[in-house]
Amino acid sequence: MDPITRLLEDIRDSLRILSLEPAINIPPRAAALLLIIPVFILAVTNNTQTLALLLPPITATYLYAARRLRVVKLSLKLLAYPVLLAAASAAPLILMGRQGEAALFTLRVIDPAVYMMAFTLIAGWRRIVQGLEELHIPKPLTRGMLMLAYYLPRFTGQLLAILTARRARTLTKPTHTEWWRLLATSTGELLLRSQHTALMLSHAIEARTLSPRGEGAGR
Amino acid sequence: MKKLKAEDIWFTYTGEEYILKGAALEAPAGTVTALAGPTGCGKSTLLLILAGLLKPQRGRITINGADLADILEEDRSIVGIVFQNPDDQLFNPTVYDEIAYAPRTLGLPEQEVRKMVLETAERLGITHLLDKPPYRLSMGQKRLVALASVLVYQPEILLLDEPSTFLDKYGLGKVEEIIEEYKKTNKIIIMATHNLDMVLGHADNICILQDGKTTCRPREKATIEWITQTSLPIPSYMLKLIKTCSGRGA
Repeated sequence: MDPITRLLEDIRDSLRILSLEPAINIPPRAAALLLIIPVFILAVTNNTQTLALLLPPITATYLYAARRLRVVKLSLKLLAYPVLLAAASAAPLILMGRQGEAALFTLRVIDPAVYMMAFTLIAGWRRIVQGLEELHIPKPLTRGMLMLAYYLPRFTGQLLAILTARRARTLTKPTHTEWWRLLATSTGELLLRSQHTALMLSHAIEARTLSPRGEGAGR
Repeated sequence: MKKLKAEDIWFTYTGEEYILKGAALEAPAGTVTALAGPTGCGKSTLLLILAGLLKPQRGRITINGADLADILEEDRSIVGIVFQNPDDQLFNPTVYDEIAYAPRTLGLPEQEVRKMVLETAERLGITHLLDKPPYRLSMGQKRLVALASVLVYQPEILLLDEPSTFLDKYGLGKVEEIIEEYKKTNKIIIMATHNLDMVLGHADNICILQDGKTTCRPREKATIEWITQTSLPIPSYMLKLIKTCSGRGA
């Protein structure tokens, strides 16, 4: 399988898993607090040792939440991207002999990323949004988060379908330039389709928004 | 008795070429009107206009003489539309939320919304799908969810765009059951369809849309010759039946 196709499939599957219902049932308020407190701790911690100490419990929480080997594998792949980017960004610090700062920077990326994935797997994207609504976070923001969870896997899935259809009609092994062209035309096609989808979606929302001024629908 | 009337409907997407050129139809309460015609003739566009989602350049849609647009300003729940492609219609994170969307916009208490959702889901046999995200369902299941998301608020006018597409025997049976039940409750059903079985099995009136214009007849007066003017595919068993009947001088 082509690496780009594989990457897109991994992203689509991971997003699907993350947007599924939670494996563990917790009340929205507790879920919101479970999100906010560790995020606050992670945000204010400015110490490599503390971040390194936090990593094992966070990882354990993540493994407990992930349960299935396939989920672990998928999310590890996803995690690899921010980690690699963080390591690449920290590389100049290492060259300058400031290893401590490089480690701090990398851990600052890894800890929240692992925690966020663990939390999303435990609470479920939908419950996170419910919890945020309980905490009176503005509705346009929370509804936007729900829409994101719904459309991201669909977006990736559609891109994958278009790309596969193009790849099926490319009879030789594509070169890097051809891959770039395939990706570019697929993305263009997706943008054109999204215009139609957006129009139909606005009709669908209008048709089922029954309050006279469209209240309560989070439009 | 309620009657939906569309008169002299003209519509263009581009501003130049008109897709509807004086289309008209009448649908009394307690009847099913089938809208048939070749692909791309404007059936879906006409349904979107009847749902008040597109505004025709010319023409008028009324319910018992009152302008539909004015009625919809006050009460949107009078019309429900099920789109041809369920993917265009579903946008909530779970099937439950999808069905609950419309009642929630009315500000009903969540307990009441829940009751409505469960009743509708049970009616369509999709209770087991309630916690699933709609995009993970099969097209047939999506079609039933899209139907449920509209049936939940029991609109007076139900518009169905190709209701039999994507459905298996079970799903089709459910849709046919709903159409018949709906008809009995004195509501208006208009369906755009290519399925001749559905047209002949359920429609009281048949309107053929061709070249932007409609020709309507009651089902009893709709002859096979008249129907074949359109691109409605006639199943081979039906053709055989017609030939056999003709051979016997029927």
